[in-house]
Amino acid sequence: MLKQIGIAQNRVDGPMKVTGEAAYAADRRPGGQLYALAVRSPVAAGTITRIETAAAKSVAGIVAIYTHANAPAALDWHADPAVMALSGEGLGRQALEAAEPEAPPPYLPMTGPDIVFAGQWIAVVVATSLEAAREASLLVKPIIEPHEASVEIDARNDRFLEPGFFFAADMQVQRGAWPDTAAKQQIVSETYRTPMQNHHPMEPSATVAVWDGDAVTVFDSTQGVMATREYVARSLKLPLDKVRVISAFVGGGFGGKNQTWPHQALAAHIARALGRPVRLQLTRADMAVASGHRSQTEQDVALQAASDGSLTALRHVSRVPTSLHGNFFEPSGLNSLMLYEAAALGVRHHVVRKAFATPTPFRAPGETPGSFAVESAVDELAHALAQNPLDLRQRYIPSRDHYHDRDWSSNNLLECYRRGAEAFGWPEGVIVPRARRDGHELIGVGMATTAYPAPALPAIVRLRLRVEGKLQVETSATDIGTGMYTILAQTVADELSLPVEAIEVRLGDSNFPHAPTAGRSKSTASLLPAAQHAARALLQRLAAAVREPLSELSNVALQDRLKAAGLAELEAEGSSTGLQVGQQVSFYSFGAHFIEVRVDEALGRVSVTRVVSALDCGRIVNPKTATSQIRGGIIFGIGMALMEDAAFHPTRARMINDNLADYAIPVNADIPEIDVIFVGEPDNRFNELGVRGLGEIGVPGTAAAIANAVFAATGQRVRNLPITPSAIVRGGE
Amino acid sequence: MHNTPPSMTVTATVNGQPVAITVDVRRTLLDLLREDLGLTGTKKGCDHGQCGACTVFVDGRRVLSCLKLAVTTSGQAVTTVEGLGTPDVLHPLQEAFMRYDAFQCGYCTSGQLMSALAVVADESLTTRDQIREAMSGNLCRCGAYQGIVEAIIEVKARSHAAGSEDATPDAIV
Repeated sequence: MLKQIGIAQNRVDGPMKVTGEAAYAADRRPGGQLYALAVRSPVAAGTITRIETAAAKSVAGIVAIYTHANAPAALDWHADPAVMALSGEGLGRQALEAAEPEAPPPYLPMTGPDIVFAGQWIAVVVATSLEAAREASLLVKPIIEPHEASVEIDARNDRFLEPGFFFAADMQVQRGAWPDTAAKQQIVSETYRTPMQNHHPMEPSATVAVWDGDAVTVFDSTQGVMATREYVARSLKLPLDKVRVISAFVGGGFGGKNQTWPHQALAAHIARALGRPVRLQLTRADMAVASGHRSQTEQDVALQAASDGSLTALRHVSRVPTSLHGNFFEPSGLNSLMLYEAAALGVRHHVVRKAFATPTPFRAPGETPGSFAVESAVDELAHALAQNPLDLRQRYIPSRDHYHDRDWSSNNLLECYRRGAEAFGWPEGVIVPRARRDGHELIGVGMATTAYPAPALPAIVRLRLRVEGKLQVETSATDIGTGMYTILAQTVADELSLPVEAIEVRLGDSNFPHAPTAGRSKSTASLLPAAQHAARALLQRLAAAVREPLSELSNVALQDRLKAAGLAELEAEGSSTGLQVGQQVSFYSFGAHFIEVRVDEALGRVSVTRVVSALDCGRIVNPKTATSQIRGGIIFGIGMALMEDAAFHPTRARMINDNLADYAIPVNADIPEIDVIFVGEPDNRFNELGVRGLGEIGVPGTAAAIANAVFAATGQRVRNLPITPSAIVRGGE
Repeated sequence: MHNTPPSMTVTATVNGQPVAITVDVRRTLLDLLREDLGLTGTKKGCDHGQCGACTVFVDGRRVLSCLKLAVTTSGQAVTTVEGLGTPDVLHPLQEAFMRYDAFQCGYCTSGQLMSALAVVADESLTTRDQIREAMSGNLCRCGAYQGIVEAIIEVKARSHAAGSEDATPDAIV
């Protein structure tokens, strides 16, 4: 019986977090620790002629300075393609292979004289104190012969690559012929642009490497300890069992800690060479270039509909950059394939190499920028048809997964529309722009659909019942703020009829059983079934030990039984299989955002004043942590819509706002109360509990709902994000 | 040529305990707390006074410890999150932060709590919008802002009802 699942339980790791006892990577302070700090290239392209280090070496407390001149030999530090393929540089390589059979040479900092993006690490100083490292880093003088560099996308003149399959979807889908532009057809055909965004989790990535003989322990800030262990071990040319990665608490990731990046291995290489523990924490400026970002996008969307609104054609063409050496690009068309059925469907992606650092997944990669374009275009179509946008979207509810030709396991999007609209007070009839005013502010409402896949990967959870102390739950999964500690405790508590307080969850250690990286909203559906199986296996083992049938155990204290069997402790593991290849149905989550904005046209100020989001994410394990996850996703969407924009110098191709003063993210005063409604229908064809992950679904659609609300308020359609005051003021002229 | 950087002795009170420690004059209060005293509850989010993760109390006022040189702390009383409460005996704000899920990853939480303490104590801040504004120097990328405001409103109401000392630790007043 479910007693704990579905309860708004406080986070079980809460006491550690509110008292400062939770130890994040840089909080580990091994004795004799050295501090490493990177020196960044001031130019975006060039060749390093030499690097002067004499002045830096004279700083008291400096222990070592590494550049491309000495790092390969001193640290055994090389751009081995097999290792690079495991890193963030390798993600997307298979998709680009069709268009570009020969991969560009892999990039690893300090392995050669070439500069391929501004901010690239060209040296690392190591010192006995932070102050000495900082002083030395300022005295390292690179002599660089600069080259031309471009970070501008030129739709006409750039050479674009046409990638193949990415995220299990064809990046070049063409079905049906574009219909003749007959009479009685409404057409929307526009170009939408989304900005480059930095993840900027509050915790800058950090790695503390501590060697003990021929084995190393890496305290790291990562979303995946197993993937990090493999990357670090392969880089060090060590067997996996010689590397332990611990990431018990992670100060946010959002994708920036999903892949592996050079610093994670570099700290271990330096610690090995110097024979002392090393901490390498990225600066805030490093966070803008050394652990990925979401690239900007340019998207052409064309919709064609009959006069009743039925969709006859959809074209969605994305132009997106990747770096000169990496491979990841935004798969912006994913939700167009899943959400909209049209006889003529063209969803294409064009990728161009530019002098950026390599982009990487960022909370709902692809779906987030793609949803801005398509959900804006659907709103434009509704206005062109003189229909209420909600009515039009109800017409477009996908009856099945047309792209994969499969039924949905469960789809309650209609219920999301109904309950969201009711709670929000969504208006009926045609929405007339500029119709509502309060003093000097115009008021408008907008909505958009969101959707996100529900994947699952194999995972293992181990339970340990002990005569004394709490029952232990162990798995290598990380809790990056998601609530994984808590929902695992709730799941095991229900299976064993225990209170949550009787359970201790231990996460983020590569010595614990295998779990996938936290990302792409897969952890809940991967881990919870494994935890259920582990609990059942534990009961069976206990029954066998005490030679009593299972049924009689239910109301008897587990620890008493363990004592009766003469055992100090008893372990059991359970596993989940993840999604099977050749699945018969498609697993997806759906939702709808309803947003009100107020626009002061004189100041160009847009305020989000009300948000109601209704979501279909299966059974909700913990309404408290789940609501927080969705709110957080929506706030990322608000940031994207109104302020986030990694900006580059027009001629130097260098990011000019790689800090939290100039790169604006939402602050408390920007965020209204956000009402989250879960439809809560269990998806029992997905797993026994009917649970799906929900880490990303709050983001897609939010920016479009805001832009649509701005249109309703002002009559101005903003197709380039972010919607800055200057965009509003210019439009009002 | 290795020149030893100038150092000075800081004599201060940290979480009620007297501290005397000789540090590099360039050391920030944040690094003194974290590296010298092992009080790692206070976090480094930007090191430039832009994020609020390092907020502590100095002589009863909230201060960004990454912007304060450690040597300027002599004669002052510092309170960090470790001085607020323990997992077994939580401060009312810590307890309210848990109940309202006022954090996710937890990295900004210490700074949010110290800022919230000031906002609770500031009787001129009474409305939700004022509290939001007064908390806007503390960034939270997870987006736990709503819970933070709810927690502050509740503790403000309770401390108002019980007399203002109730919600502030002795070291702050």
